[in-house]
Amino acid sequence: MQSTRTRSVEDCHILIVDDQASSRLILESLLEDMVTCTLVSTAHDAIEWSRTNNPDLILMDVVMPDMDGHDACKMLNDMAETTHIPVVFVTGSANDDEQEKCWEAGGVDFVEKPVNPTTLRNRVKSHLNHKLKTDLLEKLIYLDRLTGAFNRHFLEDNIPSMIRDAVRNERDLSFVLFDIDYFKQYNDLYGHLKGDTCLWKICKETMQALLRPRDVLIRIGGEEFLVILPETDEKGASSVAHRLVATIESLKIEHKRSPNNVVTVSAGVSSYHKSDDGISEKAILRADKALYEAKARGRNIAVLFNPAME
Amino acid sequence: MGDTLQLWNKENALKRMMGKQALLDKIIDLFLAQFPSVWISAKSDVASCNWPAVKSQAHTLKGSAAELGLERLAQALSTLERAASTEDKALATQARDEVDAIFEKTLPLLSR
Repeated sequence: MQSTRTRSVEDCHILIVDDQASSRLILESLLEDMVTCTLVSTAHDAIEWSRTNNPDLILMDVVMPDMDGHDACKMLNDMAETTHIPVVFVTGSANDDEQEKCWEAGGVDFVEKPVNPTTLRNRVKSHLNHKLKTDLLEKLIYLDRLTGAFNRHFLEDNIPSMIRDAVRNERDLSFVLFDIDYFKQYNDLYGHLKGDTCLWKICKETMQALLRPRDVLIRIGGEEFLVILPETDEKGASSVAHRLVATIESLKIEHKRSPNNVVTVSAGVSSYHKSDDGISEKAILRADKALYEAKARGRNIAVLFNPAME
Repeated sequence: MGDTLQLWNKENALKRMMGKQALLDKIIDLFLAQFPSVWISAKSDVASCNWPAVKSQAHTLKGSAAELGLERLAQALSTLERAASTEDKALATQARDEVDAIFEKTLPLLSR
């Protein structure tokens, strides 16, 4: 779910990765009054947890039995949903060779074990402050100020890597395109200020209804929105779309020029196919055709694309 | 250099844990629970010249010892790790015996 609130270091979440229970415990104890910590003992767990929970910083041990910290860092840097997460290595050896490996793997810093608590806390604070400022800048560039949804720039800059990820990892990627029914009539009747409030309410509810951190809501234009659902197949995306339609209707925002007397939305659903050849517009166009069908069927519904709509 | 190292630099260990005695006690418990079994396995691997396993176990134990301020033990384990890296059996055997001797002296200090 997207958040529009400005965050501070205290709101940050750190992932501590170390195969040694004592090291995990020490790091957590040194940081727990500053930030929220989650502990995992393997590189694989770290990658899985990061993909779904989006931590602000990772403290990564180097020598671990299943996969070493350098390889884990490279994998994290290589995935769209985790590439922005800074990794600080906590290493038992900081010789020249080891330092080179940390930088080459894509780490932003390293701390030598046994850790000096003052150094650790200040490095963590410094990297979190940097991350928060970067996040804020991205928010200013990519967020639609009225609704808090992402804007078209976000879509253009991020969709290629999302598709690359889905193809490389053979994971589903689905889209829900929706717009507000009879919105022109709403603006004509209630005025643009009320229209803006309506857009804001719908986005707020939609963002709350999207349960996973990696699901994104994008304002494509006026009253048209796109939800991108990584690792979601058509069935799952349909279910999300139906939930969104029901959620918006349940807000009971008065709309006297709608047959339902309340504001509703219509949605079209599609998934990315390998045959789309990396072109996101093809999948979004299919969602648009499904949306058109939803409008034709009387609005206030979600429709999954099928080839007969071509 | 080894002569200036302490068996247990408790003051430094506690300082690194921001003076949290309860944390230090927990880390000691974890160390005492972990060390004997890993060390038995490491010694067996030295005997069979399984150098990757020796290196990994020596690295693990070295880190745990260093966290607790067990300076001489950490030093001896570091020598064992280096010996495993270079597959130097004579040095590894010498380091193994040193670790045994140092651990024997260290254990009473940690037991509460």
